Amino acid sequence: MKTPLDRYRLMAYIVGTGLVILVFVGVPLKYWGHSPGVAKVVGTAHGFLYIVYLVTCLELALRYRLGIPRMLALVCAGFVPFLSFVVERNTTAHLRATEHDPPTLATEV
Amino acid sequence: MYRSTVDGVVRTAFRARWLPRHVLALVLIAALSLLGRWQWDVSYSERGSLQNLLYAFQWWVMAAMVGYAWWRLLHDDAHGRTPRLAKTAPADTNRSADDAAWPTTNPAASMAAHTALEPDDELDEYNAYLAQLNARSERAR
Repeated sequence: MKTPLDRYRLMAYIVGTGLVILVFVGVPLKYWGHSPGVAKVVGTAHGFLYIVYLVTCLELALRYRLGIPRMLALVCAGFVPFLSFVVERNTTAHLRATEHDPPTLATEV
Repeated sequence: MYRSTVDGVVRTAFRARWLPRHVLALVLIAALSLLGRWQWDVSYSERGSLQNLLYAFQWWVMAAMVGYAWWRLLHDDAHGRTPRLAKTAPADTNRSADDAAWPTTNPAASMAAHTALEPDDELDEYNAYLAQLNARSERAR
């Protein structure tokens, strides 16, 4: 958990998994199974975790100067099922390819 | 670089390339604030709940994040700060197209940004893919 990339990846996995559970288990159970329990718990958790996820995305985007298309993809990945796994993989590969140093931007004045 | 920090930031803010970014930031902050205001009103209506109140704060937090990003990018640009690249020379030519999306006052970086303006099939493909995804999520809403 040392770099913004680590923090982003952790949150991407948590939010991505939570969203898949919410959309493919919680929502069907609520509307066809008439048991709203899963949707309520996972939905609320996803709501809060999405904000934490966005904070990690913001940190990542500012440290590494990610372009607007990628920022847009990061935001959308929080509410389009399965997209977070694709974007996480792509972003990690992209940053590894550009060989960034451990980030120093925030501490410089 | 600049005699006065504030002067440098203001000068950067008035550069032509910053105009679309100011507009984007203002539009996003206004839209997100209004969405928060809408959920705030819903939370006090008959069908409202605590959930709507939390949604309101969620929208406002997002508006604040856009404001923070705008502030940080403006200051980084004014001070010519770029992310450090580990294994590349100072005048690195293999800066990614993503980095080039935020040109800086750093001359080496500007040169690198210029080389990145050459046609990039992979980037075009990625942008087309993103546009498609965006259109799909718009329709789903």
